[in-house]
Amino acid sequence: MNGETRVNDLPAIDADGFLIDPNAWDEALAQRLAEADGLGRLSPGQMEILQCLRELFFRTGGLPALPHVCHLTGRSPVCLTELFPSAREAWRLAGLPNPGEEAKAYM
Amino acid sequence: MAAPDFEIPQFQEHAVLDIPKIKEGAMSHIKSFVAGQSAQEYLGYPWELGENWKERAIERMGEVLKKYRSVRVFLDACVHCGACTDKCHYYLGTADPKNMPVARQELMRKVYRRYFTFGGKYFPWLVGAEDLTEEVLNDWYNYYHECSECRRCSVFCPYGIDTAEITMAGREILNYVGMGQKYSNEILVKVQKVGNNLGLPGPALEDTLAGLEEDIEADTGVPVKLPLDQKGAEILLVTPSADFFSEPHVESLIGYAKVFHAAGASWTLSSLASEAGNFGLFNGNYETMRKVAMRIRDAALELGVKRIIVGECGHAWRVAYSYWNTLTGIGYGGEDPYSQMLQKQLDHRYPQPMHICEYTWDLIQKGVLKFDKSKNDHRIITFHDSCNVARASRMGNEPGGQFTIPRNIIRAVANNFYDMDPNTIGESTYCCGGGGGLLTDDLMEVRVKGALPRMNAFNAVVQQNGVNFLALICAICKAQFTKVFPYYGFDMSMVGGVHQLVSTAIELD
Repeated sequence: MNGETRVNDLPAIDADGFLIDPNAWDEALAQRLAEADGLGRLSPGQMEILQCLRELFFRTGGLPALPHVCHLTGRSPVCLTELFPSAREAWRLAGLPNPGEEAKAYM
Repeated sequence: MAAPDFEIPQFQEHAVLDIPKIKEGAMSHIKSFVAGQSAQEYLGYPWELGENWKERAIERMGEVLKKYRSVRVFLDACVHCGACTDKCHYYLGTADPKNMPVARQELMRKVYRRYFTFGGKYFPWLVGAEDLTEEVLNDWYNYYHECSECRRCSVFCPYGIDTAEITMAGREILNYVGMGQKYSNEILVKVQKVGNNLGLPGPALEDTLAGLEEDIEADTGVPVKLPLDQKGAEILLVTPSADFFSEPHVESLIGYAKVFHAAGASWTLSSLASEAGNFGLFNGNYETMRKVAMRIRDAALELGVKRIIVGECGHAWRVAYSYWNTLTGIGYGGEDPYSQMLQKQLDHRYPQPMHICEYTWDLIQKGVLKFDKSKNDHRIITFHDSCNVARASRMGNEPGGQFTIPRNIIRAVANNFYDMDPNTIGESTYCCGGGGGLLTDDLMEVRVKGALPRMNAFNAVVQQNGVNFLALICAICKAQFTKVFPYYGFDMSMVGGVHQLVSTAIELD
């Protein structure tokens, strides 16, 4: 895979920083990625959002409307950018695969 | 936002920037990521420079010159008067002289002269003609991806030379020799394979819309619908797929839905045509642009709609307003049975296509929509004219409708509105800095610096009038400002759509 890298014993990550196999994810991995990105320890609320993103992604095989994730977790529509540096970072921490050029532009 | 590895330009005290002193080669290090094999192959282009790249480039240039006579006229007509030099936001923000429109044109003009004019063929040194070398080709790649095709320079050119067309021709030739841009080309593959730039498949879209319906009902107590693939609906809404995905885009989608609900309209979205954007325009390839536009015609025919309305998207509106007719409509060959069928099907009491702002403003004038303007009182609003809407299209029945209609809507739904400096809006509007296929993180330095003229004028109304909301009618503008605002010390929540304001203030039964 183009640009694939392995750091220590982390699962394979593509050139844009996204996990190649979303099934290789667990909460412990999310914590390690967050710490590697300088975000410190993820709060239960942040973890809840990551789990919700994953659930919606696997249900439809596509990108969910991001404000809907906030709604489902009882937060304001801009919760992703409030609780993470960007929606893109949340997507990376959730261990989801590269969402593509257009989605990255809007995250 | 990661710490930038480039210098953020400084604001100036007055709204209109001083002309910067030239910094030769200031942006020559910028190279947008090049498209890989799969995207290039899908679009019918090579993915690397072959041995005969130069012959292929010249051949394609000859074809482009024949097909688009405007390009030849623009290459011939320039007298180097310099009127355009300080009109490009990328020049103002980067000071790189190759970002002056005349210099951007010159990159192609010197090659054109060498291979397509008598003087250039025999006395190249006398007429400023130059061989096409790999160095020149690389310059094309860099600087044709530092132009957002916003056409501001063309407004000030005494000959009306449109640098956007030169950029488009340049990108088409680059694609033809195997140097496509990753961002635009991967998106063009997705829209053709899946139906939208995001790559959102039908079932995911259905799920998204159902989720948003729940959100709206929870917020308002009113069951506002977001119908999908409803045969027999009167109106087909085609909107950028960003509206199904992220903030603040989704807020405008909710706004459109509330307007349709309040008007009691019969409307639908389409999974086949779930994208208004058309990057074929950015790429300068007419056939690709047609293929992308065809999906909308097919969806309109399949659903049997009477009207087509386009959501908040600048370049999509340019394609719809200025090109749909000849791409897929009655202007497409004239004899085409499907064009004729669609023409008969559509209700010609209304403009076809119609912009969502025209639709909403029409309803406001008729008194159909009711607003509580005070709900927007926490916002002090200004409006940014998107380049493609401002300079390449129109709205409504009067000249300049594309400027007055969005502002009229804002004034109808909110109490606090201030325009930015008149030299930076309307026909003279500055580009957001991310249009024309530049909305990618690998061009962030170009985007941040190119946004300077707009940000500087915005900062002036922030300082003078306390503005805290930038209203937009373009998905690219929304995404661009959301990303570049933090670089200039502004919060990304200050960015939003005109129909987001409508959504806030509209009263639903």
